[in-house]
Amino acid sequence: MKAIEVENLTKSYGDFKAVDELSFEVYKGEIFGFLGPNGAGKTTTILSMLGLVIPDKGTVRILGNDVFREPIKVKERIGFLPENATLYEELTAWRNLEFFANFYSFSKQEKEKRIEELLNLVGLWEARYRKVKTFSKGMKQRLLLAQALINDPEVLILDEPTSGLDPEGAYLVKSIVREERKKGKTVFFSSHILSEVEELSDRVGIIVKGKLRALGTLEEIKKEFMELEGYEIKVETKQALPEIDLSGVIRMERINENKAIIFAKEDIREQLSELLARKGITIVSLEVEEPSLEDVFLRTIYKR
Amino acid sequence: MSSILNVSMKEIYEGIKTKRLLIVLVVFLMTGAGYAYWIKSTIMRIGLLDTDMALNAAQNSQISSMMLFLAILGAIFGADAINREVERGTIKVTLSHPIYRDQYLLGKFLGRMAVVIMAFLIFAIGSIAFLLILGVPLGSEFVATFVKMLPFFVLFSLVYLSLGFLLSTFIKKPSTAIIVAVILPIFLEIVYPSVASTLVVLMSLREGVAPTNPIVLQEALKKVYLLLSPVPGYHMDNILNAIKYGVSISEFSELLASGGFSLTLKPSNISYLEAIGIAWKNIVALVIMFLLPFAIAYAKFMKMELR
Repeated sequence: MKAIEVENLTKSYGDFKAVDELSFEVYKGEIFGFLGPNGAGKTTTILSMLGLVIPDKGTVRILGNDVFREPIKVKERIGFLPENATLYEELTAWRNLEFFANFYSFSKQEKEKRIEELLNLVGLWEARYRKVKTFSKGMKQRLLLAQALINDPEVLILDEPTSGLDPEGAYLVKSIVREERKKGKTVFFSSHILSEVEELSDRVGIIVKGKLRALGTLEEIKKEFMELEGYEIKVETKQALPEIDLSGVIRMERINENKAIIFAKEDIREQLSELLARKGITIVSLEVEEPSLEDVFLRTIYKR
Repeated sequence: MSSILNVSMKEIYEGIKTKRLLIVLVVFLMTGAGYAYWIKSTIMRIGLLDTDMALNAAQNSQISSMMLFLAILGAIFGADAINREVERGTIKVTLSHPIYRDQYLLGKFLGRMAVVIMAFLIFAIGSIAFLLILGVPLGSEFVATFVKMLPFFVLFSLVYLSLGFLLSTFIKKPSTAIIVAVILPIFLEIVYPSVASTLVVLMSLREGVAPTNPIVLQEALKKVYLLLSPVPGYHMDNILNAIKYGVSISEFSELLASGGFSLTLKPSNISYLEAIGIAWKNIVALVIMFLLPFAIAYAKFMKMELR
């Protein structure tokens, strides 16, 4: 079942097209990583998904509700952590969360219990009566995450959630994201940190210059990438490796007498092992060198 | 708790905690104290000749200073209402929760209005206290006028608050908007009326007619009033005249023309409703001056990109 449906989303600022006919879906219960270089249109997409930026064209539906026609229905069920934002600096951590909790139909006890839970979760219980202006950047980011969780949202939208956090803070955010998924929640997060996306995401969307360039699970994206860019097959044999003359081979790079990397248009491992067996050559290892997400990402940005 | 009330309460809490309110209050209370001393010395000087006239002048000056305070306070408190939240990103956080944009704007407006009124009452009570401490005999008539004027002080503060909100939706940088918000009331309430009056007098002189002639003076006053019609303080003066002396602006100009600049009006005993009847056009003008900038700010805010 779909949690987020974005269809033909388009947004321009003057002559600059920030988001161009963007369409994708996020399924319930998955962690979706939205990857793109700076200025690719990630934040514009997210703000459009929340109705904070009004798109020129397109629709966004979250949990079946149109974001622009039924904004309150949508907002009651989502949580949002924006990039480069802070909370009300003159208020304490507790008062900030209380302010956001007041938008929902909590009883006083429920509200206080929820605030206490969240402040403990993000490690700010001891600082609950301190004004936010005295907080470090990491503490502010953790409090922002707490406000995003105040209504126990079904869909969590996080814009660069670990930006500005120390490793401990980043680990906390990632573990909270995983916990939310375990509870069956949907998490949509944007990032330009590849390792983070690789580590957390069930599916990934790569946006470049406002257009979606890749979408799917990491395996699907890598496979699609290899089909387009070619396969790198590493081979090592006991005997000397002969020249390989198979259809689909683009070139062969020798590492030594027994080792080589074969660049092919398709996965030719089967044909290669048959060929080597016919020639009486024993294979020590034969594997496809999978591209890293970094390879895919960089090639997507610069080549496609 | 309703979303509007939630935002209003937050605004009040933040408003009274900020240093800005404290600074403005201290500056104005100090000015108020100095002003009270000046009024006292003026009364000592003129009072020997005409106590009523001296007291009248003192009361009018006091109300004018309160109006300027309200104007600056209102404009300052409105000027960073939206742009500061956009700058800090707090608006994105708040509007991602279940609240409509218009509820948010209204909540902010009501909250800030409450802070402005609270600050005004502190200033007004402080200023009156200074006068009483210095022994200026204000009398029950002054207190009655002040109480009758209170709803119009609120309306007047709304005019400047909504002008401040207008600035906050059009000027991106809060610091720039606040500077404009300080300049705007000073220009509208002090500089522009002085320039407008001087220009009309100069124009009369250029035509070779002395403005001391009652007919010429009345014509000149009409021109001045026309030029002053966009100034909120002008309408407040007219409402004050109606409440205190029971005269409309046309009657006032006639009296002024016939009596010259030495005209002294006697306080009248007309009812509050009658006074409102006399000054209804000025009240309507203030309501329009409040609603128009707010409506423009509202329209702009509803379409604003919150990047």
